[in-house]
Amino acid sequence: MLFSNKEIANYVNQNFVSSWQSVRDVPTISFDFGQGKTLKRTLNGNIATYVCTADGKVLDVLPGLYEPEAFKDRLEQLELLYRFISPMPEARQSAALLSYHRIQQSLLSKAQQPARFIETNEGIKLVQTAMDANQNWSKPLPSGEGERKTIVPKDDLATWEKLTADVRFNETQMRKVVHERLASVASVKPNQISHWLYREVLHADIDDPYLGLSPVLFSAWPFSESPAKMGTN
Amino acid sequence: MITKRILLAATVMAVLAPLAYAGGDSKVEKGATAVPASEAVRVARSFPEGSFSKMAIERPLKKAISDLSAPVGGAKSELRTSTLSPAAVSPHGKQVQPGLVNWESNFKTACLKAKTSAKPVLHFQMMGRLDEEFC
Repeated sequence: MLFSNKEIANYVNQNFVSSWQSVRDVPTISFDFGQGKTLKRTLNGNIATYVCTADGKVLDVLPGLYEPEAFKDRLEQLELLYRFISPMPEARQSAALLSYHRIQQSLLSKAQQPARFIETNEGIKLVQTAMDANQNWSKPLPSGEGERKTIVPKDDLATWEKLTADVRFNETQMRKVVHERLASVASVKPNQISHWLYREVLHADIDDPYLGLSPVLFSAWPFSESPAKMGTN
Repeated sequence: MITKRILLAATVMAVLAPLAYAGGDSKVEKGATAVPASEAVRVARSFPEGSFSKMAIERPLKKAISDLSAPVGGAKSELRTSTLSPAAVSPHGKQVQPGLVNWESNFKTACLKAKTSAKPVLHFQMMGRLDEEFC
């Protein structure tokens, strides 16, 4: 859905070199309405968007689903992070990146809005903005950039209120954990943290054949055999 | 124990058989009698609001049913049904275009290209495949 949005795709094509990777099959579920009508949907799938240097080092991660406007806004911020970091000597890059994650983790831990990069005549700066109690996390966060036009049709599924709630959760809870992790490692590549990210942040353990859902799926299971045993018999 | 296994096998078969027949791009079995979309929408709307409030599936399901009445090949035809024209279905079965982004073949290639373009790398991880219908 996100990458089919023309504005998102154009922005990504202009500012990033992109790749995608499947971490495992996605579980699906089918509804049979009878009379030949069946509906197939995915179940408990999840995504993560990493922004990395050309050396493959992770700068930051957007965990989970985002609405298009929020997604573009956060990508713009991460592109500024890249341009903020990349002119520095390598040793200073690591220190600056660790500092960035510590600042963001600290602000989110205090339920404050994360700092934002702004570009001025003097260069790119990371600034802390005042927290608005009614902040809509699904929209571009305030940084004096002015009102933006919407990039999503009104009846699009992306405006679904549950997705809005997801964005808030991603930004306030999940990213806090991500910042905490990235503030503790000088350099990490996507595949070095993807298992941790899916298990601890996205709550979908990709190493577990039942994605960590076994207690829910089998707690009322009428048979005594464990799911693991079922899979091998 | 043997009785349990027989019961288990029967249960699994009962659940999996319809899924197996629902495979492929068309989610409606060939030769099945189609329910008019207007009737499906009427039935969906007849449920009292909130009757499925504990099910997170409610809204997408209602939306999916209402989409059955959308014009053939319309912008909302995410849900593939037999009402789609053959041209709207990928010639490679479940293969679909992975959005409008210019994807490199893998992360390593993207990093190599990023070195010459002075751009950061956007690496997207997901369950399922971006070039398949269900991802």
